[in-house]
Amino acid sequence: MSVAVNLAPRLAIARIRATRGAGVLDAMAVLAFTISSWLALTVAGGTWMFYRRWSVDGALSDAQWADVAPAYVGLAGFACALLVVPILGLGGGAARLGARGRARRLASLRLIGMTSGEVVRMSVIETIVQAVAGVVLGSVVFAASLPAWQLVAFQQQHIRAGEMLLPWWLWLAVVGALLLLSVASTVVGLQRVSISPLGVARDQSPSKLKAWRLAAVVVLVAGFLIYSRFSSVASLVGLVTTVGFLAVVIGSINLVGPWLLQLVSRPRTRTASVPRLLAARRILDDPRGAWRNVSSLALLGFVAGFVVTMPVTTTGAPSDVYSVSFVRDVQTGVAITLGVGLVLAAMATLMAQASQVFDRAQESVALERMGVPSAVHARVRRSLVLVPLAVALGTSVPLGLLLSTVVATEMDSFPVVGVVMLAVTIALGFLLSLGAAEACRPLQAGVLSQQQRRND
Amino acid sequence: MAPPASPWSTGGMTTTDAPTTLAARGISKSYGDVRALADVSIDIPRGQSVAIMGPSGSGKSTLLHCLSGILVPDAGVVSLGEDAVSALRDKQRSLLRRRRFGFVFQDGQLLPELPARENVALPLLLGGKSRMEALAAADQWLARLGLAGMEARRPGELSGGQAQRVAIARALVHGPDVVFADEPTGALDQATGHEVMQVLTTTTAMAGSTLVLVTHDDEVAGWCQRLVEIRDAMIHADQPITGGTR
Repeated sequence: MSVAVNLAPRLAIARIRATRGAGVLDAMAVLAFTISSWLALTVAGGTWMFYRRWSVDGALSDAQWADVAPAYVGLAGFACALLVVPILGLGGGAARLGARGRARRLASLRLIGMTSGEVVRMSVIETIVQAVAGVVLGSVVFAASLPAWQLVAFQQQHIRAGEMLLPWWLWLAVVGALLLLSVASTVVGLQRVSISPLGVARDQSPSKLKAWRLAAVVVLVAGFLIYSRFSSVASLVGLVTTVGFLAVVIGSINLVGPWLLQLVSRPRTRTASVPRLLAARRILDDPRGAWRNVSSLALLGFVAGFVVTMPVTTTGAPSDVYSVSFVRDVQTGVAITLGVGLVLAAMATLMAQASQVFDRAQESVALERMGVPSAVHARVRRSLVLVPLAVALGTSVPLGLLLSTVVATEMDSFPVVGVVMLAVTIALGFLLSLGAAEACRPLQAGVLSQQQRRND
Repeated sequence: MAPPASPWSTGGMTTTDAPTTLAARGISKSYGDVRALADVSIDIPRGQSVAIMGPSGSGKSTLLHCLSGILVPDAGVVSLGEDAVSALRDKQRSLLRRRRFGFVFQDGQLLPELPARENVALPLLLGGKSRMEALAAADQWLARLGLAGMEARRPGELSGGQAQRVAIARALVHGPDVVFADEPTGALDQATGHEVMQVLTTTTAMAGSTLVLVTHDDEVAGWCQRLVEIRDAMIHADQPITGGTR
């Protein structure tokens, strides 16, 4: 253990000092952990606030809201459930950041005699240090952002500064989950690249994903459509079953997504355009990885599609002041959820693309020496972002729309958000992801301009 | 549709008919306080194969990088025929490398996601050839280099020698004036290294291209016509190799 403990910080410091090197990835991993812990604490804080308003006498200034207070807790819990996947995904992504480069480095350490156990322990230590730094920073950002939430009102009551503050045990549970996941992602990631003294050889043709994925999703969606005709959400059991079934259907997007990416990318390899060819081949090389980068946006696309006609039942007439406020609160909640999700998705894209810049540094330098213009790299990156994004939103938004119309027919309902929010979400999804891809330009330029003195 | 480029033609890329000399005049290059090249001059006529040798840190790779326009010397001029390579802007040098030079690196530096034929076709695709033409030319080169039937294999599915032959095909497919090879056998065993050198020297000779090769291996250098020895950032010896294989 002592070898790993001694070596890990030295290597990390050396990387960070090498300003143009992969030290940027360490900084980015800390940033990702900061953002994921900040947003995780924020959504947990929001849910905690609704719980306190419901459970503590006098927390709500207007007692009329007491009847619908549980619904707020439920909706906030639903938003948490939706965001937990991208938040944990970002944490996991941070742990996998630069995995290929790290694998090469670790292979060298294996060559000089470190055991595989020591190598894994060293990586886990690196991840824990990054994650702890991120969690501390994220907690500070969370605390600093609390006053800003006073601008937002729910239940006709502005959020007070201390309302979203978490009790210590809940804070510990949230950050503990993030830390555990990052460690698990590191260990699983290292096993996947199987560090051997001879390095990592993963340059063989990947096995094709099979069409059963599509069949499974079609069966699930059809099953849900049939189920929703014969079920009722009036009872608690009915509601829980429907939401559970819906969650399985939402999750199934991740099953068919990589297969669809493979399907779309295969014909795209028949091109004379080098950027398009490289992007298509890279997606085909790892369709699951390409999908993972946009899976949180697929989830958002589904939510955005779903809420366009999502039913909201109210106890009073639509003109009733409480009903109007309730609908407005749901709209605010949906906007916050989508906003948080978009930030997470953009950060995930940034990490994935930055990771690729360093993982493929050697190839990029070789291409540059051959005279390939640097614009080709930028176009490859854009394609790598846009194609999966188009497939993700092209699948999830229609699915969200389809399922929401089915659920909507069950109740007296009215649209919570219009197509405007759907369009804004899609546009922002594309813009933020493209922005994240463009943000990698300086990293790429740094990698290409790095003048290494060869052993000449 | 135009017929695919012959493995021994220029592939339709821009080349001059007159013998093109690659030349360096008084070039110097330093990395901070470390002097890698000091007032080096050399002329390499078209079609010649030159081995650059020298101990570690002598400046041999820096000379290759300056000659190929990857690096710009701090002083002096590098020219290819009438073109002053070292005076070109970065974008123009990229274009020159793409059109008129071919490269073979130590470990091939093939793109791992692309099958062999697409790796070879890359320079032609970048030069604006149609996919069909580029792939046809690539297949011809692969067959010529003994890799028929392996067109669809990815680099990870090839042996070191096979991968290096794919890299040679990629370096020659667009009919370059000069092929630069930086320790092309450095990652190979002796027998495979000899096989790769044989392929590299004969194919560049038959294509009429100049070969500039950096190596620290006497036997590898023995495949060339001329030996340039670099020591302490300067040319220490420049002589023909008697009994050179080319």
